[in-house]
This record gives sequence, structure tokens and C-alpha cells, in this order.
Amino acid sequence: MYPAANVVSMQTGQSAEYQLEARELTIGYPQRTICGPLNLQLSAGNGTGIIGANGSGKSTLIRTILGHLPPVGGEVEFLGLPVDEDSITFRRQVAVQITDGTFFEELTVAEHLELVARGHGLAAWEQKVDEELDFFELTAVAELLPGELSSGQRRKVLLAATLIRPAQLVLLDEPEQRLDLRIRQKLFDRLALLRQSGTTLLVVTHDPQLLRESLDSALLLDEDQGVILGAEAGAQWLER
Amino acid sequence: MSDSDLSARASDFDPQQLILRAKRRRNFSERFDSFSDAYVWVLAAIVALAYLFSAIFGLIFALLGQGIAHRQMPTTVWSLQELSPVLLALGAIYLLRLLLNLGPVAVNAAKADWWLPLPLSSAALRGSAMRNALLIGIFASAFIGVLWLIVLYGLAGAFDPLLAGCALVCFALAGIVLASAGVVIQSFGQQRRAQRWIGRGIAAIVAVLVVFWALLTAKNQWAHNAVETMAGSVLELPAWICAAVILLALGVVSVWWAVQRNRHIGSRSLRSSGESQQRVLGALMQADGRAGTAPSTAAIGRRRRWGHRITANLPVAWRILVLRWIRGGYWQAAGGYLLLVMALAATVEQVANPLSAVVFYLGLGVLLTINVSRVIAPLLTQRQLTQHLGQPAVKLKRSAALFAVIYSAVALGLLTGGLGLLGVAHRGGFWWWCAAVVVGSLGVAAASLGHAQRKERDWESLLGAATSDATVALVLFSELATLVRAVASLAPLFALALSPQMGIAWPLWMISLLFALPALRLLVGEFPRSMRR
Repeated sequence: MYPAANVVSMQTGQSAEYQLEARELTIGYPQRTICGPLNLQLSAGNGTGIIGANGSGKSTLIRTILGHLPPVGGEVEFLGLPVDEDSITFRRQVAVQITDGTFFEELTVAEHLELVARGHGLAAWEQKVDEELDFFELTAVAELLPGELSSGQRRKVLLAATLIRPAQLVLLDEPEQRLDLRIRQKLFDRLALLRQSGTTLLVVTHDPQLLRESLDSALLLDEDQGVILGAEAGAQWLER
Repeated sequence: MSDSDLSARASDFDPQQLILRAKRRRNFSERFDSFSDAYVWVLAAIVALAYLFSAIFGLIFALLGQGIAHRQMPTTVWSLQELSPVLLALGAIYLLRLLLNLGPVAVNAAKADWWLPLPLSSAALRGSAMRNALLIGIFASAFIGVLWLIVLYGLAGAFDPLLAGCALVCFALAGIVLASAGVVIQSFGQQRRAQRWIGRGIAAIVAVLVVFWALLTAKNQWAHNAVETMAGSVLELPAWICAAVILLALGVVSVWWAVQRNRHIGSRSLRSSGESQQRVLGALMQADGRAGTAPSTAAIGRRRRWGHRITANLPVAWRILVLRWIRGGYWQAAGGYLLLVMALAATVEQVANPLSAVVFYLGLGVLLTINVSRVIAPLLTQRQLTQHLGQPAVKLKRSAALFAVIYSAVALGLLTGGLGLLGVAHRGGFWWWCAAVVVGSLGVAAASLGHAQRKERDWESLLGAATSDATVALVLFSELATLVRAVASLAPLFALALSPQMGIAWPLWMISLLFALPALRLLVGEFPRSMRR
């Protein structure tokens, strides 16, 4: 039912205690601090939801962890090394879906997936592409250009591109948005399976169901602070 | 699957090939493949250049007031031709500033999201990004060079075509040097510091100009010789050949250094530069002159604090307008224009003449129309504001109109006063001048309101969506009509500048009042029925 879980071996030569660790991390912009200091430790197979009100800094936290934004203070380490987006090892081991629909206008849906699959050196990439298209029910639109897709279909392409490739750490920003209920349930099940196979998940979400079914803890960004909660407590916070 | 297996397989893959193959298959580049289309593009460029040529020649003719008596002042110490080398220095500085705003090495959003995160060597991505940076530098510098050569041709009357060719080569080489410098600065992450130095460089050029102006006013012979030598050298072929050799050497060294440093530009910088390029392109498409000069973070902070303090007690609509005016830096265009005009009229030979005064009014009218329309646009076009602010649309429109009238009146008043002080405008008939300024401001405000209500313009999509030449002409005509309206309402000012003794003919008042009427109606509201009877 699900494409095989992709896991790559760690080859950093580091004996890191945690896969991802943020210490005294303050996020924001030079003129404006949004949140922090935060402390976060994730081991292999952990699944943490980032929850909080709009504007609390959830997406900014993801961008900072990825190295897209410099931290205002503190540090983030991945496998015991400072986060470095320019490192090929980092790019190979971290999969991310944070943007909302930027595509090559001349590439079809299938070609976008081919780009990611071949870029990550997947053997039998054609088969992997077909599996992802099938999983996200995109086979019928595989040869369409992004401009011809609905916003929900575009979101599914982004998720397929994130999950087609092997990764140690997967970062997702509100993956449940604009998905129909069936695909949403399939995605939640797949994320749970990924976590069981040792992939670490860090997911910004407003969906209590995703938190309960796929993740095991929640980082609540509230009043400029980060509080770690259990998945159930996090789900209840979202439902309040 | 081990990392080494993955990387071996991935390293054979070139995303560029996949993208190019898809492009070719879908014929996305057919516009540029077809000979006939290329022919049209070349023809369009030649026609545009011809129009530009005519416009610049017309401007020079009017500024020098050919055949019209000009006012000789003790402060007019140099000619336009003697100032032309300064334009070269300013052009280079502003081009570097633009390049630093653009990155100049950048990847677009699609490449940043799909290609940059792949675990592949980014050499190909960086290589093509750097080639683009160099091409931007070459084309922008050559364009500035062509404009400068047209100006020089207009001022000097004639020069050797070989000289023009050699000068163009120099401009292209200068573009390469500046773009390479931009790449090196970006690789060290020193764009902000470089922008500060560029600001100081502009201030230094102005300071040098002021010093030379003071020396020339005091009849200093050394300064006189230096200015003459500098002005003469731009028309000498050996000087350009020498410059070309120096620029070629600099170009080779700077490109080599830029290639070495290109690999040190981080993904974050590539991505954020791509976003900057997108913003600048968007601003250019909407003909927003602020495209190349994004304010620094410190300047934005300063404007925010200053704006809050000034507008604290204003009504909400006025608060929006004044905050936009301050924060958006809209005051800079009119302020800079007035300063430039006064400096030209006071220091450059022959410019203090009635014909150039008309050109100054005309330029200010066009500038104010576009400038004011951008400030007031939200109050006129965003219908939801009436709900958010709890005010009727007509009240918001009235505030916008009043702002436009006051802003235009102040700018036109300052220009008139300045020209009067310099003796370019006749000092008699004070009340006629006041009336002409008031009517002109109402006309400019009316044109701004019309321009703003047609909302944000995206020229690429507007012209791209036009199905025929007639539609394109219609779009251009409606834009032009707004500007003509603004300029026509300045007719009394033109008449006073050209022939102050003759007075203003009543048809001129009628025409300008006609164009000013929409703003006037908004300000006073509909006349009550009893008054209409």
C-alpha cells in the first residue's frame, strides 16, 4: 500500500546523542525577535508537532532549523554538527516541504518527481515516481504542467516530492492543508510508518488528528516560549 | 543503500539537462527561436532607441533654451558638457548599487525549491547564476552608456563613430568589472557595508562638485583647467582606448576573482537574492522607480519611528496617507527632483531660461501624478478599508484628493518660488502665479486620482494580454491620457513662464479648470440642489 520507507545511513563520523538539537535558540529577524530561547532535542524516530497560534513563529522555527534564516541567538545542530544548508550531507539527509507552490512552469508533475528522485540518486527512479503518483492519486495528472493543477493537487505534488527521497529528518509545514480526507488519512498513516522505521519528523500542524496518529510529542510555541507536551496534550491544546 | 552509492548515481545527473529537454519539447522558447519574432524584437528595440534619441535631444534643446534669452548669473560656472563626466561616475555607482540589490548571483524560486536542496554539486547552478549576473552587468552598463552617448552627441553636436564604438566597449567592460565586484562583495556577505560606502561615494561626488563650483565661482584657474581637460577628454579617442585597456585588465582580474569566490556564496544568499530579483522585476514591471534603490533596514526603522511620531494625532485616513508617504520614501522623488532642478538652473550655463522652466514644470507634473497616485491608491481601490476604518468611501476619497492637492501645491509652489528666486520665473503677478499653482495642483490631483483608480499596473501582463496592436495602443493611450490631463492643467504656469507680460488667455484657464474639475468636485462635494437652482 505504501511506498517503501526511505532511510539513509548516517555517515557523519559523529557520535551525536541527538539527531537534531536546538540549544537556547531564539528565532526572528534582526529588527524583531519572534520566539525564544527554545531548547529541543530529537532522537531518531521521534515525531514532534510544532503547534501554536498564528504568528507564534512555527514556520520561522522550521526555516531557522533548515538554515534558511540565521538564528537571532543560540544554535542548532544536526547529527552533532552545526546546521549547514550548503553541506551535501545535510541536503541528503534532510527532506523538507515548507513552500507553497513554486514550480518549474515547463516541467510536468512526473518530471518534478523525476528531478528529485534522480537528484537523490535513487535506483529504479521510474518505479518510485509511479508509486508516489499512485499514492497521492496523481497518476491522471502526471503529464500536466503545474499551471494546470488545482491548489490541492499542487500541495500533493510537493508532499510527494518530499517523501519520494530518502531522509533521516523530515520537516513539514502544515502538510494537512488542502488535502481531502482520504489522502489526509493516508498521509497520517504513512508518516506514522516513517517514524516507526527510524525517520525523525518535525511537523508544523493545526490538526489534532495528525498529532495523535503520527507524532509522539508537541512543541507548543506560546507567549514567546517553547513548551514540550505529549501528543495527546498537544492535540487537546489544538482542540481547545 | 549507502551514501556513496547514492552520490555516485546522483553525480551523473544534471538537472539542467532535464529542464532544457522539457523546455525544448514544450517549445517554451518558440518566441525567440523564430526568425520573424527576433526581427520584431530588434525592430522594436531600434524604434524605442529612436524615440529615446528624440526625447533626449528635445530635452537638451529645451534645457539650453536654444534661441531664447537666458539669465546669466554669477553662479552659472559650467556647461552641461562639462558635467557629463560626472554622469559616468554616478552611473557606475548606481549600477553597482542595483547589482548589489539584485545579489547579483541569484537563483529563482523554482530552482531554490527544487534544485538547490538536491545533494549535488552546485557548480552548474552557481555557474549559470554568475553568467546571468555578468550579463545583467554588461547590458545595464551598455544601456547607461548608450544614453550617455546620446546626451554627449546632443551636447557636442558631432563625434567620431569610432569613438562611440570604443566608448561602448568600455561600458560593456565596466559592466563586467562592476558585476564581478558585486559577486565578490556578495561572497563575503558585505552587501550592506558596500551599500553604506556607495552612499558615501555619492556624497563624495556631490562634495567634489560643490568644491569645484566654489573654486570656479572664485575664478580659480586650476579648477577651470581641470574641468576643461576632463570635459575635453571624453571626446578624445586615445582617452577611450586607454580606458578600454585598463578596464580589460581589470575585467580579467575581477572575473577570475569572482569565479574563485562564487563557490563561497551560500545557499541562503542565493535564495534571498532570487527573492530580491523577483521584487525588483515586479517593481520595474509596474514602472516603480524605486526598484533599484531598496532602503536599508536602518532607514526603514527610522522612517517607522518618525512616521509614528508625526502621525500620532492625525485622523486615520490621513495617518495611512502620511505613513505611506514617509515609509515608502515617496517624498524622495519630488525632493530630489526639486533639488536637481534648482542646482541645474543655478549653476549650469543657459539652463536659466523660460523654456527649461516649462520642462521643469512638465517633469514635475508627470512625476507628481505617478508618485501621488501610488500613495493614495489603497484608499481608492481597497473597498474593504471602508469597513475596517468605519468610514464611507467618499470620505476616504476626499481625504486622498485633499492630500494630493496639498502635496502637489507644495511641490509646485516650491518649484515656482525657487525659479522666482533665481530670476527664471518673472516675479510680478504674484496672485496670478498663486492661482496657476492652485489650478495646476487640482489638475495633478485629478490625474493622480484617475491613475490610482486603475489600480496597480503590471505592464508585462497588460501588454502580453493585449490581443491586437489596437488593444496595446488603447492601453498606452489611456495611460498617456492621464499624464496629458495633468500636464494640460499646468497650462497657466507654462504661459506665465514663457510670456509673463502677456497674461493668461481665458481658454487656458478653461482647459486647466476642466481637467481640475474632478478633484474640485471631490473636495467640495456635490453642490446642494438649492444652489444649483
